[in-house]
Amino acid sequence: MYSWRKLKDRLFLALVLAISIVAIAPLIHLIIVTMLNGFSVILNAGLGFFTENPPTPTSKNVGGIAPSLVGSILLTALSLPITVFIALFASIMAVEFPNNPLSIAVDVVAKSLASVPTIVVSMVVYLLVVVPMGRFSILAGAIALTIVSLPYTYTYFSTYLRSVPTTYREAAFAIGMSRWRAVINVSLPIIRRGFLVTILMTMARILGETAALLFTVGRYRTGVSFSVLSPSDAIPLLIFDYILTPYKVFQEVAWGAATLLLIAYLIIFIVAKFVIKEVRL
Amino acid sequence: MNKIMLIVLAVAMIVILISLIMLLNIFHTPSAEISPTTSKPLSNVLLQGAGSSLVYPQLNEWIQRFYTQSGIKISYQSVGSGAGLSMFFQNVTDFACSDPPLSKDMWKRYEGRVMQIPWLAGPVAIIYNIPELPKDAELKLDANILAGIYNGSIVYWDDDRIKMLNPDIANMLPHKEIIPVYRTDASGTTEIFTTFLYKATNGAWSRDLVGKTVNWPVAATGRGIGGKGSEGVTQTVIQTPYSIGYVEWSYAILNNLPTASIKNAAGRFVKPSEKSVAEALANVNIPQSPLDDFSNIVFESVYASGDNSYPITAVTHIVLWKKYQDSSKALALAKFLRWVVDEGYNNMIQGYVAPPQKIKNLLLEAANILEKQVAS
Amino acid sequence: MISKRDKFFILSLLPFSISLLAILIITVIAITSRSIDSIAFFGIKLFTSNVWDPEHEKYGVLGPIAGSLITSLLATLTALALSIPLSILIAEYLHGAAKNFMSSIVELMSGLPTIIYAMWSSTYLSLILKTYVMDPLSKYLSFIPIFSCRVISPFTLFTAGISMGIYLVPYITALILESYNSIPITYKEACLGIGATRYETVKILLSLIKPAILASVILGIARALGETTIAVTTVGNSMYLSSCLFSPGYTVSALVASQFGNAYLYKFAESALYASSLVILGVAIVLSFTGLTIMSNWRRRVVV
Repeated sequence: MYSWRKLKDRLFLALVLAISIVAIAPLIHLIIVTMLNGFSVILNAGLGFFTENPPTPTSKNVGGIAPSLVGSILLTALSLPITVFIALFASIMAVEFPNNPLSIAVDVVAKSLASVPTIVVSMVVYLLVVVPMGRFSILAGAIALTIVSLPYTYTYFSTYLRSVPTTYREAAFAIGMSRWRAVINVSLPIIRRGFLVTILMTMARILGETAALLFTVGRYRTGVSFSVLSPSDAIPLLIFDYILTPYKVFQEVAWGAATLLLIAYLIIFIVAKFVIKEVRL
Repeated sequence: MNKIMLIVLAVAMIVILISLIMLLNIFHTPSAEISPTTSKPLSNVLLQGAGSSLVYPQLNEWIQRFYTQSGIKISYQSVGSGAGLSMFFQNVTDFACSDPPLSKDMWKRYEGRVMQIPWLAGPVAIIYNIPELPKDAELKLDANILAGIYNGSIVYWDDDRIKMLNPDIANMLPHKEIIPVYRTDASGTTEIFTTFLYKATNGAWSRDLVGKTVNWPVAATGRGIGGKGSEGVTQTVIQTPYSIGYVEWSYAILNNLPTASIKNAAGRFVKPSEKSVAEALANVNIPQSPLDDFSNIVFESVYASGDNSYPITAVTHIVLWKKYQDSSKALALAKFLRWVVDEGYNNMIQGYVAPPQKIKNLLLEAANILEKQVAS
Repeated sequence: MISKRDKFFILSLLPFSISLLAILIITVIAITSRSIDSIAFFGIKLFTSNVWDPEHEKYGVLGPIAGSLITSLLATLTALALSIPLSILIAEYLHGAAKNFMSSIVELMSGLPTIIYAMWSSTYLSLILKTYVMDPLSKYLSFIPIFSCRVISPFTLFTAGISMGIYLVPYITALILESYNSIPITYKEACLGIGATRYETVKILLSLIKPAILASVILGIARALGETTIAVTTVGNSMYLSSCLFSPGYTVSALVASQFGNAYLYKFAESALYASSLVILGVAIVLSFTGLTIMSNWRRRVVV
């Protein structure tokens, strides 16, 4: 009897271990094959991978992904501050005045927004921004990205703000600080690490989002565009378009771009890990 | 307190909504305000186009060359003819590339304002993936067999009707189910292919099954697979043994895929080639002005007469406005059209055929119309 | 209760909160107003028939909606099967550096751009699944209706389900781990105290978090419903409606991705797309609220 229980315990451990390995195997395989496929492409293309335009289907050279790279950077630069700004203040509101009807509404809305399919966001932005403006643009793409990442950023911020012990805030009120001062002088300094990680993870999300860009940013790949009001491209969109083509040279570009995206993400993640021990998404 | 909050909330909400709507209107107006006298240097112009994936490889080549020579940037999204026209008529892009011309209804709606030129020609190739067949084997097909495959009545590759046309390789055809691959997006290629099936089978392929998107009968059997874009169809055929698909010839060439010989109106089996396409085109009537109705051209150009005409030959169109609010765009487009006639047609990539002189004249006329608008 | 200074504070925060509200309201209004045309014209047939024929203005999106639900359910079940053991491993068996490392891996997975999952799924996973899972299953278990059809392409509802399942693993794992760790330590001590083995302890603890697991499943489905990139690259994009998992299909998001571009050309196509995404949006919102409610109710009961 005793040994049967022991054996069951052992078998259970073996099972748990085996399935866990299956669960993380895709990640490892994915990283390895992406890097294997991508690195040779980037090495072949050399520095040109960062400065040249994508190839034509018939060309022998891989070319580069400069338009998409610049587009991705501009999109992030435009969307990240707006997202962080809105999410931070909305979450301060929700945490500081939890019983206010507006705060409750915002909390509910953030959760609903998180379940809006990102492609729906893309359709709506196309309808309300691209068509009235008469063109695809980085601005439209950035608006879509902001809508997509807002609920996540809001959730991080409010989780971190709620984790500030009430005793600290009560102490601040006791010495006559207003709520505003208490947030600035007490809550924010306490969560500064969380603040940084939130910004980093928002950045990762914006960099990797594809579906929100499908009908918003355009696919301008024949040159680098620096204007916010003109069409551009993004790395995930380039990968999405190129991976489905039968052209070998396009697929190579897609793998190279994916490797770049993966490395960017890994760097962001590792930096975030240095700042704080646990990253919750 | 809560009541006050709610009132504040409501007011603020209205303010935000109004300001959002105003913001959208602000975006809407500026393009109309540009006066024709402001002559921007053309090198700052960005032309946006979208549409047919058929022209994409050739157009991409042209765009890069044109940019190095003139400094005018062109952005082209290979999203399919339907999507290209959608974006064009929503004024999101400056020009569209569409394989079929505007339908009669569409053309009527925009009559006198829109121009179309059938500026490139190319065959639609039937590609297949039969591992048993050697690379140099010739698979012969006709419209009736293709119709049978796509309506689901011909199920196996060793069907007697296929064997009869191919006595040489009859014993190599395997007893495997045929997997027809079709386009899922609205596509000019589909319209051309189905128009061919309709015209060449004397209506055995029903009129209802002709168009940019088709409710493929074979899809209901679960054997068919959809692919998005010619890219998707080509990719699917490569990956799926015993499949068959229709794509522009250039896709077949670039991926080194075998193409079937198709029976033409003269009863001969012809493979796609520059010659067989040129012969087919020579026998097609083309309207006199870019402002005319081109809607009959698809029906005319498939299954055309001529001994060596390739029967699934298609022309693909560039669609432009007659007038642009931004005059520099009109000038840049005119410049591009002239450049295509002078230089572009000398830089054709394999799979595309430069059109006859009568079409080059149409392009020059369109350029004239665009320039005239600016001068007046 | 609220002082003058605080009132000013609230007012300064208002615009940010309202913009968040406005986004959702505008989204819902925009989608609803665009959906009305097709719903009014086609009525319930829009959702009960399965045809996409813009040339003849005939639309029915039963297939894509069913496809969305089937793939999401399959994805969540896959993720659950992988996530529970992974959570147990992290929570019970690993300590110190190993535990940190493993949880870092899960966190790493959860933020990975979906496009990379999509790329990997369509080029590698789909072929692996076809050769080692779908082909054998359809060969030997074809008497079961959901395995009954021949596998003609690596891109099927099944592939999409599994691919999205892998993408969901870190999300579900995080949810389960959080619930598991929130069980008061006294329960565990009590179990071990009466001499239960690890296996028995885990069994008891798992039964305690059953409602949380249910909530995770519901939240997982809600999240999978909206996934676009992975769906469109793996589902096969076909309007075919079948009870067999190995046939190509559509999800609503994949339908929108491939049809929205050209929808403007046709009278009702755009509206039909908006209507089908409205359905998905509604289902996703209802599901995520149900999930979150179950989760917070459970937490209030257990974590005292």
